[in-house]
Amino acid sequence: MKLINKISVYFLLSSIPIFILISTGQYFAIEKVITGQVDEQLENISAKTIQEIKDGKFVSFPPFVEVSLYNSKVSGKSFQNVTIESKDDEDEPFRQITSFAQIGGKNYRIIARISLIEKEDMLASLFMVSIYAIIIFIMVLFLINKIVSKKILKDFYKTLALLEDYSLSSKGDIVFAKSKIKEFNKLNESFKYFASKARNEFRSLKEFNEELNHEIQTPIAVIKSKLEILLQSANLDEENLRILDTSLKNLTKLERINKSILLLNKLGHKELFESADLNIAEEIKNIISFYADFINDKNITVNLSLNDSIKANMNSSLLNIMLSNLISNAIRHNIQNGVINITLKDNALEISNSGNKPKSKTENFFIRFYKESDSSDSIGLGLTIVKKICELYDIQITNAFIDDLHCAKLLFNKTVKSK
Amino acid sequence: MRIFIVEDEKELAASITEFIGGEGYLVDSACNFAAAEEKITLIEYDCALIDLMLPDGSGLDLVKLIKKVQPQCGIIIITAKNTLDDKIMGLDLGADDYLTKPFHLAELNARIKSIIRRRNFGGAKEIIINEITINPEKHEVLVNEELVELTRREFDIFLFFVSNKERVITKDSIIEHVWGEDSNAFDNFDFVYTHIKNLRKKMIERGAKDYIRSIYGIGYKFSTK
Repeated sequence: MKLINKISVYFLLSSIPIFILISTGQYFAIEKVITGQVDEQLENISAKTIQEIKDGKFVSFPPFVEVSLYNSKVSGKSFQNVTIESKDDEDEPFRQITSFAQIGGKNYRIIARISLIEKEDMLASLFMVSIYAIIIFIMVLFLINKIVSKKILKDFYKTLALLEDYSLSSKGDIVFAKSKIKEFNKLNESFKYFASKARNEFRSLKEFNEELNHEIQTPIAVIKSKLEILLQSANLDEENLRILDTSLKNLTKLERINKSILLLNKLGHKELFESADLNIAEEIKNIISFYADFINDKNITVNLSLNDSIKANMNSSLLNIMLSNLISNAIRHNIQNGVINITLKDNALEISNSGNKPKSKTENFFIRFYKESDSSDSIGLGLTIVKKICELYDIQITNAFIDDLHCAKLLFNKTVKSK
Repeated sequence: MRIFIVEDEKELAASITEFIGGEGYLVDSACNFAAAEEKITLIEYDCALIDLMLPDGSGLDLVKLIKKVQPQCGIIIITAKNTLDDKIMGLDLGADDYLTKPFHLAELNARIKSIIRRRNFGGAKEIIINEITINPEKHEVLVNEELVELTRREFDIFLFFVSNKERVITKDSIIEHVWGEDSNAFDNFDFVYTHIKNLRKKMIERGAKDYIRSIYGIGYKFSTK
C-alpha cells in the first residue's frame, strides 16, 4: 500500500468514530432541548386547560387535549411518550402530560399531547446532514491528504527513485536535491553517507580481489616450475611420481579457478570489451572442429542446424568463451556414443546433449562452484561465466533436462541482426 | 646459444635456467630493469624472456631496447597479467611470442627453440637426432631419409617431445600445447594415448628406435640415452 493511501486510511478510520461520537452527542443534546421545550409547552397547555375548566369551560381537542373525570383523587403530573393511531391508520408518536386536578369538587384527569413527528423529522434530517457532512469531509480529507502528501512526499519519492537507480559500481556519488523538509534532508544525508561508504568498501574489496588474483599467479608459477624441475630428477620412484602428478593436477586446478575468477571480475566492466557483429554459426563450427578430438573420443554424434545469417553484436573473445563453455560442457557431461544437437534459429540458440539425469535442479548449474558431476576436474565456474556474459549482453539463458537431454537455451534479445 | 631471462621472481628464473640450460644453451638472468638494461647493451643474446612487470620499470621498454640494440635476438614476453592490451602492445613492439604465468617449463622450452630455429637465418632449420630428421617448417619427419606420414596432431606432439628431449613432460603440458590452454578442463584424455601410440608405431615401422618412454602414466620422456 502506498504511504499516502495508508495515511489517508488511518485518517478516515479515526475520523469515523469521532463523527459517530459527535453525531450521537448532537442527537442527544438536541433531543433533550426539544423534549424540554415540548414538556414546557405541555405544562403550559395543561395549566391553561385547568384554568379553562375552572372558568367553567370544558375543553377537549383529542388527541391534543383530553379531559376526563376521574374517580379517585390523585394529584401530581407525569410525562409519557405514547403512540396513537391517527386517522389514516398510522402510528404517530406523541409526548403527553397527564395531570390531575380537583376543580369544584370533581376530579379531573387532563392529558395534553404534542406530536413528536416534527422532532423525528428534525432528527432524521439532522442525521442526514451528518451523513452528508461525513461523506464530504471524507472526500475533502482524502483529496487534501493526497495533494498535501504528494507535495510533502515529493522529495521522499525523488530520494527513493535515486536510490533505486543507484548501483555500487556506479562511478560518482549519489546526488540528492535539497528538500525544504528537514527530516528528508537528514535522510538524504544519511543515504549519501551510507552509499559512499558502501561504494568505497565495494571498490576496495573489488580491487583487493583483482590484486589477489594477480598476486597468486606468481607463486603458482613458481610452484609449478619447481614441481616440474623436481619431476626431472632421476631418482624418483613410482610413488614419488604419483604424488608429484597429483600436486601438479591440483595446481592446474587452482590456476584455472584463479583465471576464471579473474575473468569473472573483468566481466563487471563492459567498457573493457569492444563489440563487433559476429556470425554465431561460424563461431560454433570453429569450436566444434577445435574440439573434434574430444568429440570423437566419446564417439559423439553432432547434429547442427544453424542459420548462417544470424549475427550477434558482442565481443569476439566473450562470444568464444560463452559458446566454448557451453559446447565443452555438452561434451564433458556427455555419455559414450552420445549426441549433441545445436540449433540456431531466429534469435534462439539451443544446445542439447545426452547425459545422465541431473541430481538436482537445473537452475543450480549457474551457482558459483556448483558441481553436478563427481569429476574432480570440474571447477564449477564455467556456467557462472556463461551466465555473466549473457547478463552483459541481455541474453536470456535457461537450462533444462527434457527427454533425457540436457538443454541450454539462449534467447538473444537485441544483439541479433539478420542479413 | 645465449638465452637471457628478465624475471623479478628469482626462484622462477632459477627454475627456467635449470630446465632450459644444457644442450649448448648458456643462460643469463637479471631480476630488475637496471640490471637487464646493462646486460642487453653488453652481451649479445639469441633469445630473451622478458617479464613485463618489473619493480623498477616496464618490460615493454626492454623489448624496445633489444629491438634497437640487437634486432636479431628473439623475444618472448612473460606476464602474470592476462590482458590483451599487453599482448598486442608487446607483439607490436616486435616480441615474437607471449606466455602467461603460470606456464609449463616444457612449453616455454619448446617456444624458445621454435624462435631460435626461425631466427637462425644462416643455420640449419632441421633438427637431426640420429636416424630422425625433422623439418618444422614443412611439418615433415624423415627416418633414414624416408618420409613418415604423420597427422598434424602427431607431428605437433613429436616436435614437442623433441624440443624437450631428455626431459619428463606431463600429459597436461602435452594437451595444453597441442589442444590449447582451455582443454585442461576436460577430464578424459584417452585420445592422447591413441595419438602417441600411433606416432610410436609409425616411427618404429619406418625403422626409428622407440625413443618415447612412458613415465608411470604421469607423462613421457623422449630420450636417446
